[in-house]
Amino acid sequence: MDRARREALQRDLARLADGDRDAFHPVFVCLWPLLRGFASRYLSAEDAEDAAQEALVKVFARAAAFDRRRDALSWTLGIAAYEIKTARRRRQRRREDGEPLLEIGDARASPEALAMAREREDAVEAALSLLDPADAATLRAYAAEDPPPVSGATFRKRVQRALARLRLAWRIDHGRP
Amino acid sequence: MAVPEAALSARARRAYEVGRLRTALPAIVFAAVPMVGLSVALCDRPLASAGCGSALVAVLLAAAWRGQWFARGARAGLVAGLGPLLLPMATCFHLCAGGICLLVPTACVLAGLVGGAALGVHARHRVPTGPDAGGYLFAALTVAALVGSLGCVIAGASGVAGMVVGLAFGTVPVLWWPARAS
Repeated sequence: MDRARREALQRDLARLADGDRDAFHPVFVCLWPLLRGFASRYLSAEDAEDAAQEALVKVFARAAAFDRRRDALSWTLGIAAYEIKTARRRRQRRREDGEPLLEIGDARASPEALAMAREREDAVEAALSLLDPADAATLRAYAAEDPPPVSGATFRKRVQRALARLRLAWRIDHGRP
Repeated sequence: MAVPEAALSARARRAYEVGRLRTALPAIVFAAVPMVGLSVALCDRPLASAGCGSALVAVLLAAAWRGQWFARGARAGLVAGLGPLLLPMATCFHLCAGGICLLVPTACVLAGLVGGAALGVHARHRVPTGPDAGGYLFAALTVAALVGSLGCVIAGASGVAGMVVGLAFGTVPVLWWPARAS
């Protein structure tokens, strides 16, 4: 999020806390994609959608108590992070109870979720293509859980370095990873 | 599960409105409820105290929900009403010789005047002129009158009426004279 949008969010959330209903729509339009994107970094598509919705509703439920001296973006992401944590815990509990899990590419996933997953895969592929071929091969082998061609410790070190370069390439193309 | 954006927006809006109502809770729990308790305990008119208390809670809820200058006005009204609430209660412990005692109604009028003047001064310095000032004064005077009524019920309807007149006469000159001079 750039500086201007961040300042606009701070201003609009302060207005909403004061009771100015005109600020509702700008805050909603700013926060919904932000929270959805934030949740999708840590959760599967379906869980991310649910967690983002819960986080958004909680942000608005607490908006009247927002302290304008605090940073609006950090405050919002703090609420979202808690929701993500709760969703992960819920998923972990389900896994422990032996319930079948839905995969990201599940047939029941929405077309929107599938498109987002495809977009993400394309972005990862594009970032991998910027890397040295050896780094890209290391990361592909790591993702596919193939047996490493070298010793475990060496492979882990190579993965670590390749991931650092991938993060840098991603940051250049997409902002913060 | 993905939901249409309009449905999500409506859900968020409901959550926001309920959240606004919740902001009135501290004022109700920590100010209105003790004031009503004091009035019921000392003024010997439980029905009138309960009526004024209910109206006060309703106005505090409405002001907090509406927000902006209404909410600020309600907070100022809670403070401005403290004089008319406590002064008549303090005078009820005096010993009065003779048939008719006018000390309590007089205390209501005087406390109303002081509370109204304080509200007027505060409004002149802190509230910008315009429609905002109207909302602020309306909420502040209503809350101050209801808080004061909790104390002035001890003197009956005349005490409450005197306090309301005192509030109005205390506020209006403070607001009107400087505006006229400028």
